[in-house]
Amino acid sequence: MDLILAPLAYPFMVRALIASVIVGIVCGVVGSFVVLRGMTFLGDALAHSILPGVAIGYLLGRGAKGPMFWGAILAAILASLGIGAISKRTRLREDASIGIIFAGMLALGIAIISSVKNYAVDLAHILFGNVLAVSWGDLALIGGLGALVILTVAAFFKEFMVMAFDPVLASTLRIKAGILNYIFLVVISVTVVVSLQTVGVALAVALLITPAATAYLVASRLLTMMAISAAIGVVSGILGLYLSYYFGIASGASIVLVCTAFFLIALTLARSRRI
Amino acid sequence: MMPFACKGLEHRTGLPVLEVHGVTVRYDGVTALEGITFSLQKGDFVALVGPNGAGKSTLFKAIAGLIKPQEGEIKVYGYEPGGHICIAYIPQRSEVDWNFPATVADVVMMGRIAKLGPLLWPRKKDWEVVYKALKVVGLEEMANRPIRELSGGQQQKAFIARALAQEAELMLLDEPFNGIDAPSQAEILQILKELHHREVTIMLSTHDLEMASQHFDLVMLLNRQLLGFGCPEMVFTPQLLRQAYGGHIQFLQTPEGFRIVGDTCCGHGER
Repeated sequence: MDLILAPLAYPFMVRALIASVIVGIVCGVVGSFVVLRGMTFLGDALAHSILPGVAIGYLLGRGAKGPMFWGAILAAILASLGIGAISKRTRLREDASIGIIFAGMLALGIAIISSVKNYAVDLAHILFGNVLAVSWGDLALIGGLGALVILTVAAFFKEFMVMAFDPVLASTLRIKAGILNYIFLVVISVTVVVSLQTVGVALAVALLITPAATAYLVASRLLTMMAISAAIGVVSGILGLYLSYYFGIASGASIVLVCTAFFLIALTLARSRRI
Repeated sequence: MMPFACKGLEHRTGLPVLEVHGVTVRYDGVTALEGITFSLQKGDFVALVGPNGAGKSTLFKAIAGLIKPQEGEIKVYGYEPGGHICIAYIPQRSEVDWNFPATVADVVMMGRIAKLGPLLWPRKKDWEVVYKALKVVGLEEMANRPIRELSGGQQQKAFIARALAQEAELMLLDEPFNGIDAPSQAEILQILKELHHREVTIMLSTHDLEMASQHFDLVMLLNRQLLGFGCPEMVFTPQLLRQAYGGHIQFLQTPEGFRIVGDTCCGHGER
């Protein structure tokens, strides 16, 4: 019991746990659509594309977190709209336009950060997250944006579902797929930014994909898949933080490792059930 | 073209459900359909036949408003197809991810989305429509099963139920019998005939000329151009069939008419 309660004596641990729970839920829900639509690469690219926004926010705010946050959201939205525009206007396939925007924005971000003196430390925090440094203000921001994401998904749930399952039906039902696709890209962007502080740019895609992919193996309805995925996200966040606390591992890495472990367990179970 | 006059087929009056006039579709300069003109009346039951690459799927997609013809116009109940939600296009089964986490009832509910409008979740009334549709196709027992457990025939029935939930008045079925065993084919045909009696206008494409001539009032012979449209005995003449299939078809002339021995088509995946 002490093993569970002892870390809770530190307020930073409590805040970190709350952040992990919020991020687990939001990523679990949004990630389900990302997995079903095969948009993993896009999710990963968006996570990396926010670097210049974070860097500019960092410079303008002299290290304060608010501007970094909004800079990240702006960069992610610009990147997702840019990717959409390039693949629409040229004959390039979407993965190529994703790659171009992703690498370009990442390079821009590194260039900006490297102009600052002790950039290695800051860059590390952005790349790998620092959930233990979450403030109450950050939590309010994460919570508010997370709620917005969940509400948006609830509002367009059936439209997103049809677009994922049968795009042809979506267009014979005259669903405004173009606008909804952009809305969905913004939803992914905000989700990535929300999860940034827990796992960082490099691992954000893991929280989006791994719990949802795990749930996909066992669920037979979309809502069930989302619930399982969110639950795995939350449990991984909490377990990961405890592991990080007791073994001194980087928090982002330990959270993602727990997610991966869940996936491997589900894979084994699904295999043995089929045979 | 208007259907050839056929004895025993009463002429229906009233506004046509579907009018296709001079429709030409090209993909990257390759002509898929050329100058197609015909009209369908409410409750028509039409089999669309033609060799691979004849443009059958293209014609369906143009009617459903999924692609825009370069020339000509299509009117459904007097208006362009782009605004209609009463058209159901049932794609070839291979075009959908059958591992998607959804139950049979969930998939059928997808047909109701346009009626529901944005932001709303299905109400009790919508689920009633869904279960009624499932009953029509005989899948009510399967309602809560995941779709990945369905057989090919059941998948096709679920799609028909989805079109019913959509309250479609014009159903376009793209190769619904492809890769489906004979008993299921017969069941599906029976369901479609029932819908036909309820005045649903149905058009389906098939490779099976014999089924088309036995079970459909009207057949349409397509090979980029519309070669014939009317009752089977008027359309499936040696001359027109040769025009459609070239040398790839063999048939026997018998006193009762003719029998198609075989055609060398029947791959998949035309667009």
